[in-house]
Amino acid sequence: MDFLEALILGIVQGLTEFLPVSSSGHIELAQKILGADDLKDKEALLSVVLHAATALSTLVVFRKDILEILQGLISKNKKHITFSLAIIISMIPAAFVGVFFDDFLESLFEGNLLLVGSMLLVTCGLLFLADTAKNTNNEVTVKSALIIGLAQAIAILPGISRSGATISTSVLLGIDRTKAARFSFLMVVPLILGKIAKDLLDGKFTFSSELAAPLAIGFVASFITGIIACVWMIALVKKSKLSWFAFYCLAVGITAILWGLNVSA
Amino acid sequence: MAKKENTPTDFVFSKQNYVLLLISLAVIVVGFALLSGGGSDNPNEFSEEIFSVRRLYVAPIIILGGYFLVIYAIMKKPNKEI
Repeated sequence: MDFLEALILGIVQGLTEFLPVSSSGHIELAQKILGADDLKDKEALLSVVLHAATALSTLVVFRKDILEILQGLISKNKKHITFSLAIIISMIPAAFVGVFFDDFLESLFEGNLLLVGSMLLVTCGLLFLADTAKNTNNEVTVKSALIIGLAQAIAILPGISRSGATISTSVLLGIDRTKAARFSFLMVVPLILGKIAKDLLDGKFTFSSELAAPLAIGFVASFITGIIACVWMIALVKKSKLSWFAFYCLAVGITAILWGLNVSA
Repeated sequence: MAKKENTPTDFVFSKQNYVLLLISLAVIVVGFALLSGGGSDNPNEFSEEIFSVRRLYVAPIIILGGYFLVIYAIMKKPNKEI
């Protein structure tokens, strides 16, 4: 792994964690384009470091909100207890799918451009719908958290953007746009940290000194672009500008489908 | 007047936060250093070192500890200056 590769992967992770374009879908496409079927395995340690960086950038952006929630929990504030409960409930569907069906879904979608392209079109549709949603004044409730959690679980499919699916579902449920974006980004932090802890404690990583500099560069790149993308995405959701990304997903989705048809023909 | 909401960009750190961040990054670096090694010079030779307690347990726990310290460093409220 060289510096440039780590820098590019760091920037891509920082952007795709928050912008609604499906990072997993793009990895599947990149593997096909580059012919590197082992990209995910080869970069496993880098992936853990980059995900840690974006989780930390979320904490930096929402630092005040998280502190307020923690203080609210201590003082038994009903609003903050409900929000924390909503976060926990929203994690259940994705955790269930991740634990029991991750390998199955990965084998189903691996190298399948038709499916990945089709899912990108689903993301495109969701983003268009999100921009048309009206009357978005509601708070996140426990019931809506479960539905948003189901959207997050479905977004494990490569091609469906996690942030796109959860934010779109939230605003379609009538939740305030800014609160929808905040909930979407906060709900995934415990899952990412849990996954990192599990991967590290599985003891499957090796490290050598030549990896130190690329990992550090990737971490810094992912952390900084993560903060920028997170703040940018909140502004875009607020202004109903998700259709920009819908057009992008439409173009990439159609290209992937046409390519998939060409390969199978 | 409507209550001013927390803006996402409002995340100023104090000196204490930066010191804690540097300490936690040092802990992570130590963890990664402990994760290294374990390979064999000869690919046909098996090295028991790859399954050492240091690599399997100590290093991951130190790295995780470092990450939790980073989280604490980010979340720690700066002391109010008079």
